[in-house]
Amino acid sequence: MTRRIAILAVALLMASLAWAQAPATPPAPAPEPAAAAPATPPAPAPVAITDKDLTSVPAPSADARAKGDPDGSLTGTVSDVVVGDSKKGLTIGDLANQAGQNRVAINFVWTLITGFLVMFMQAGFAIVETGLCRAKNANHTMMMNFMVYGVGMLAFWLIGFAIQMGGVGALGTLGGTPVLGGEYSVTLFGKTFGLWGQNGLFLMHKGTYDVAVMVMFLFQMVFMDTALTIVTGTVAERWKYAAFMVSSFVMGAFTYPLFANWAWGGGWLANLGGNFSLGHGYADFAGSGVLHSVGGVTALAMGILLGPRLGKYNRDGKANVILGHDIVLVLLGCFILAFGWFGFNPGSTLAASGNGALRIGSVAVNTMLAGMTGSFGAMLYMWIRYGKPDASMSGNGLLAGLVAITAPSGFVNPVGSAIIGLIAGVLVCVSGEFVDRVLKVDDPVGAISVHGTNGLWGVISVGLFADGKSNFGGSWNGVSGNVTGLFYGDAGQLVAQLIGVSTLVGLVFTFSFVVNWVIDAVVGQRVAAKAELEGLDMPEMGAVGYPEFELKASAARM
Amino acid sequence: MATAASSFELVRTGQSVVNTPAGPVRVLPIPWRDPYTVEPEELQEYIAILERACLDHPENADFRTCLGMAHAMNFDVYKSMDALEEARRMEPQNFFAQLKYSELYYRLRALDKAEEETRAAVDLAGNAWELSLARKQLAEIRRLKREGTQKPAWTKPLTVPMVMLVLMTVIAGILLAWR
Repeated sequence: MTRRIAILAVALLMASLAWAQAPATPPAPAPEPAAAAPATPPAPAPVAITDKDLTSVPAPSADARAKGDPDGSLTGTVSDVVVGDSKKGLTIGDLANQAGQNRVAINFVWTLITGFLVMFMQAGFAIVETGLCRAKNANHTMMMNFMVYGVGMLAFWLIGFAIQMGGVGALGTLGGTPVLGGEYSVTLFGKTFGLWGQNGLFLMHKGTYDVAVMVMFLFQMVFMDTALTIVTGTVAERWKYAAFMVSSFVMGAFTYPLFANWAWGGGWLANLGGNFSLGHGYADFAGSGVLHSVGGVTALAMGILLGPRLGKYNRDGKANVILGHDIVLVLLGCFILAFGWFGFNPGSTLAASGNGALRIGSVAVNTMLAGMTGSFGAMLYMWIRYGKPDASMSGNGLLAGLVAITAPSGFVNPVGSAIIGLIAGVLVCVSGEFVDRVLKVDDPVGAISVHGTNGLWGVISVGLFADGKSNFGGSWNGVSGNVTGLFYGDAGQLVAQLIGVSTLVGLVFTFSFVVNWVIDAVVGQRVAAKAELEGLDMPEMGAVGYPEFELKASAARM
Repeated sequence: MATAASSFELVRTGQSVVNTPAGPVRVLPIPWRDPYTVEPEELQEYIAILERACLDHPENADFRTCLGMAHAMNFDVYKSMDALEEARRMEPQNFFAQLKYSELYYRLRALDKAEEETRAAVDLAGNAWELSLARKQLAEIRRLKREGTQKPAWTKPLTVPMVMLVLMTVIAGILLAWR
């Protein structure tokens, strides 16, 4: 009975969320103009400002500035505008240049700071994964999450960035020169299909030693690293450290950048709209697919390749629960990740000024809401089905909601984001059960479900829930107008999203499996059974994660 | 150190090599007296002897228990599981077969399963010494469970949640399209 009431409550919540955005009454017709109303005076003709006018703009005197500026009224005035020619004084040209630089500076700072937030997510991933693993593997799990940052960055700097962004063209919001214009394409049936970028190797190649390119590199690099660290969760507690280094390098250099090029770098998926009139082409605002699903699908391939941890499955195939060791770390890590997501999604505008970039407020709120409903969805699911509001799954629900809203965050309204998050919260639990019991893939942290399944859901949800209200500079993927999903009248967008999902799963799974199978044959992917049972800290890393803890436990046994 | 052949003979004749308060133990004592001092080659030799013994005595649960323990020491988890399950099947009332089976899961940190199987071993204990062995293991399992982070044990069918998920999406879609 309680369960039925709870299910009914969830259904009612869904219905009320969806209903909430329907207008209560049809919009009233515009009132007739009053007959006696006076005629509106004609607008004054625009007056051109000349350089001469600028001379009359008052600047704070040197005497006033010498006394300091405690209330801030003297700082940031006309005297701070950079003058090109001191003999001519301030000109309209100087003002225009300053305005342009201000816009690009705002966008630079915005993109860099949000990139720094995303970088901090590595810490969140590290402690979530470590907390969900056993204490005997703490050092190994932390080290994988720590070094994936360096390994991924090296691969991306050397090769990956060029493949991903080497053909994207001019970086409009960052004011860059079009040095990233080397997309390798093929032409079939009169249509151009971009396959990979070519400019930007070492950030020096073909004029890419450029300030805008540097900002773009930093932002894309931290995204790529997040995808890499997803894999370490699924194969935690049994992955050979040397194999992890090689596999992560390959993923950072090839797997991730290739799909990211097709979606974000001017590749063929982004041009499905222009080439085949499928909505605006594959639309993935901040990377539910490009990043999370690529990580999740690679994790699935790795999980199948390495096999389950010893003892995870009985001989009859029934799964055992293997406990983690620190729920405090897990939930703290989830909060750090949720904080970092404010870099992920709002930062993906690559701008805070111009081109519809003020949508960042909406993107940030959508992110919060989906995280909230995701955690509610998972917590209620566990409470109803298993009797307790499970902490680890509530944390995973938060992350699932955030993963799912990553692609649609720029295109949906708050009600849509809440629904997407709620479904993601339930989906992460259902998918977790499916992966564990049906696929029999051992995933100690639930990364396949959180990132893989919900990443795909996020991509599909763009094709369902995009409300056609966002306009990032008038077009998306070169198709004018706003991204609109099926529920708002454009079925073509959903088709583009489904093509993207199929391509992602097919390409990434196959490529990752084959590459890692080769690495397995050459380096060996899995640690020896003895090391796995002892814990990987000593055999693989040479130091335990919690030495004092071990001493205390030993003393207690004596 | 006794040779492999003589150890085998000891078992076959049922001669006691370790005296306990409860009486003789019928398991081979050498390889697991101190697991860290057994050489891999020596362990392989014992495993081969025990496998031959199991073939010669297909209904002897003790040999299979010993074989399961030897495989576990050799970190061959699934062979160990097979041997111990076979021992339990042959002799459901064999305390050591049950205890070692539960100990395997305890060492693998599959604690729910280990607790369930150790409780079964407690029920089979025939004397105070056996009972103390099982209870000590049970206490350790419970401590680990108390100090560990619980994760969900997925045990229920997926049909209802799948239907619910689809319904949620359809309801949301209908309402949004209908607005």
